[in-house]
Order: sequence, then structure tokens, then C-alpha cells
Amino acid sequence: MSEYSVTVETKAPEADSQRVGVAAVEGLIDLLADYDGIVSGGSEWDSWDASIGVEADSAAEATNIGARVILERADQAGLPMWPVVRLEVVDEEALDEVPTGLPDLVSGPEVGRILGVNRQRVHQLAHQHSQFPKPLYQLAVGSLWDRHAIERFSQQWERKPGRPRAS
Amino acid sequence: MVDRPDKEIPAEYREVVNHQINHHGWPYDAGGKGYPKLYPADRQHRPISIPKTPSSRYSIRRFIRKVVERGGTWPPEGRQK
Repeated sequence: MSEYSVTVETKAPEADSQRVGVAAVEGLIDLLADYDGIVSGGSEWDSWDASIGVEADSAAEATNIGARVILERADQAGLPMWPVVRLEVVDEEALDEVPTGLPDLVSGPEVGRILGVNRQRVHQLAHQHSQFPKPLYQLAVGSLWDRHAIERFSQQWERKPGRPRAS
Repeated sequence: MVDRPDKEIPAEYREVVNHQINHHGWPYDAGGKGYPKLYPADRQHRPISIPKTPSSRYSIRRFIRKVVERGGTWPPEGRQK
């Protein structure tokens, strides 16, 4: 027996305006607790996915068990029964690695362009603003940030006009 | 929405979550009576629920795989897996 991770992802057909209820997501997490289930979905999205751990003799058996458990319990929890667009099985014992991601990176000048400020102001924000994202990499030539983190900061940043007061 | 994870999730998950908060700007919701959730900064991606009491050592790997799929990173630079 090996432990497999099985993931089922579903997506709403284009004509379907139904969305995922938060209560249904929470219900599915409850129903998958014995399988260490992880559920992704929410009211703003037209898709949901769930991953569970399954002990089985083969990947095929794990796929059958995992997909059945997830879909039956999702239905029970009240999640929309949209078409399955991804079914994935990973042998956790054989694949002894976790994938690492390389996000979309931006340097100081690009951060400045996104925020509409000069490089000095980027430097100042990076050192003084508590909500400013920390750089992912600090190289001799400068720091690199996750673009999405900077864009998110830009949306939430409350700009104050004028020069900051001298402290 | 709260800023930081606490004892509502296991310590090894806290480390991963804090890294996504600090470096990727991902919001975290402790969940109150519900389940904790981590929201990717890229809002095209769905939030990820976090198990409160995982029973398998592979559970954290499933969670990290979800994080990476949605634009997060782990382990931090210079740290072994």
C-alpha cells in the first residue's frame, strides 16, 4: 500500500452562473477531514477543487477511490456538480519531492513603475512601510519582489499627498 | 481577515503561510468557527483551506503543492526542503 494524493477540479460550464457557497466549501472540508482534505473555492469563483490522501495498492485504485470520495461528499455538502476538468493522482511515497514555484518577479525600477513612484520612494517604502511585501531575493544588484504581491500592495496602499513629515 | 496565523493551524503550516504573507502578499483568514484559509494575491486563484488537525505526514506536501500551483513559493531562498 502507498499513500496517494488525489485531486479533483471542476469548473462551471459557461452558461452556468451558479457560484460556490462558502457553507458548502466548509461542509466539504468537514466531510473530508478523515482524508486530510484541502478544498479550494469560494463565492467569487466558478470552479472548485479538492485534494485528499488515499491509501491504495496502485495509482488506478487511488484514483477511483479518491474521485468517488470527493465527488460523493461534494454533492452531499451542496457543492455544484460541475464537470471534472482535472483529475490528478500523485504517489507521495515514490515522488519524494515537493514542486517549487518561481513566481513572476519584478525589480526595484519595475516596482516603481507599478506604484508610480521613483526608485528612492520604493527603497523608502520597502524599509518603512509595514505592509510592503518583503523581497523574495536580495541580490548584490538589488532586490526582487513577487509582482502579484506588489500589485496587491498598490491596490491597498493609502497614498498620502505631500512630503512625509520629518521625524 | 487577520494578518497572522496562530495556534489554529499546526506550526509547520504556519511557517509556510507566514512566508506567503510576507513575501507574496497573500491575505490569511483564521476562519473563526470555520476553517482557516489562505488567499493568493492573484485573485484569479481560489483560496486554499488549511486542515486544522492533519493526520498524515503527506498532508503538508499536498498543501505546499496547492500553494505553489497558485503562485506561492516554498522553501524560502537558501533553505533546504
